[in-house]
Amino acid sequence: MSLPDPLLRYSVDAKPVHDLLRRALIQLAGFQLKRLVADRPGLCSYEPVEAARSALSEAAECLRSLGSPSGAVHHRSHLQAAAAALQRAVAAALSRHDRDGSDLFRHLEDAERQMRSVSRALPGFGPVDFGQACCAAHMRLPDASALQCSG
Amino acid sequence: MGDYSIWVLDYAAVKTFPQSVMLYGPQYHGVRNLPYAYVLIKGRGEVMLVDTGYDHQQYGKYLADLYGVSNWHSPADVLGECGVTPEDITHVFITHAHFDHMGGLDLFPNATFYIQKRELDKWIWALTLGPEFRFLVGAADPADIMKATRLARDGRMVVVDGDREDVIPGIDLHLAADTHTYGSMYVTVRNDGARDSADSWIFAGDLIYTYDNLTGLDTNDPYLVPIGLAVGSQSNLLFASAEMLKAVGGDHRRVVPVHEDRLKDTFPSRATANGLHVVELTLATGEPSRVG
Repeated sequence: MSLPDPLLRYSVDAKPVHDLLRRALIQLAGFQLKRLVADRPGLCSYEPVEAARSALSEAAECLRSLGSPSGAVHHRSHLQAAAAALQRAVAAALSRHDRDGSDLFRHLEDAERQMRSVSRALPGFGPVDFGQACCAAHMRLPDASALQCSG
Repeated sequence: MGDYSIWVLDYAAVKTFPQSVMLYGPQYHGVRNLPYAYVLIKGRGEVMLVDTGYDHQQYGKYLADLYGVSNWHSPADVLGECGVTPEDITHVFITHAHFDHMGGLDLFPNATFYIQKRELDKWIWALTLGPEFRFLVGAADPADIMKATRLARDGRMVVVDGDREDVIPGIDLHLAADTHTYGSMYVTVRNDGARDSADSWIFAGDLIYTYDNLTGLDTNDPYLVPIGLAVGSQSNLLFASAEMLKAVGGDHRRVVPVHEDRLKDTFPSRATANGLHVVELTLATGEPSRVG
């Protein structure tokens, strides 16, 4: 599927935002999972939450400067909604009033739904980076000629 | 005859997988067929799997187009070859958190899942390191982590911290830390139930991809060769391989690599109408053959 130039430009610019949101979602879900399976949930490290907050801050900056050409409005709205849901998830993770993690989980599920909509709205925004997967090991050098030594 | 019947069931394949990933060293020695498979263990009132496969609904076409993963079939079709449904599965042992081993968490609605604590901890840790370290996390799927979180919330995710004997009678779980992944796990079935079993089978996950990892390529001078894809160390892979071999009395055929295309020639097997294979390792008393 080929895209018109403004949409292609948008896709290139939106990719880092998508990657940051995807990372934040994984980090927050990982935090919640560790809390659920821990013997002493209160001792779980908040490092993943801090990493997610940092990724979301970076994503918010990128979103502010991200254009919105015709054909990308729908995609951009889902990116924004995912970012907002993840911000709420960070707040829930840090809240003393969400000890069982039910609010955090609800916001994560919302973010997950938005990310799925993002992946359906334009090509190239799949939820998984299979580039490092076992089955992708034979596909990492798409242009071997580019690696030829000229000396 | 032992306590459990055991089958290895293909559910998809990569037809042209580089030999150098399966076996460290042979960089220009072509490709092999790499089956994707899970292990069905049935007996003593339990129906168990080693690994889940992945969810084709989400990624099938993508994987097929880009990476040549072909001929995926659902657990209903694959398990049906042995008269089992996904709803029958009571326990699933996840060897590691890669999508082709863990991506089907929600396909078995009545199962309890077992995974190593170290696998979860280090996976989540690696995700905090930033994109330049993405090699360390493989194909982390947010959906898989969310699925695991739902299972944990519902009390269906058991986190195992190291080795655990008799998780189900005769079945042991072993941590192989810092090998293919940070918290890879292998599963031992002591099919005579004895502690010092003379009838053990080991399901190695991706600690080995092929029997060649246990024998080398020189049949006159066997030696251990690590796989070509690890976040841990090659030494740890070799020591884990040696430990597994020792546990089966040196009979390398009993350390089962699910990605080994030659399983179907090593044990009784049959091809299905879908072009997959049912490999029958052993049958418990009273269990009919599914390959005869």
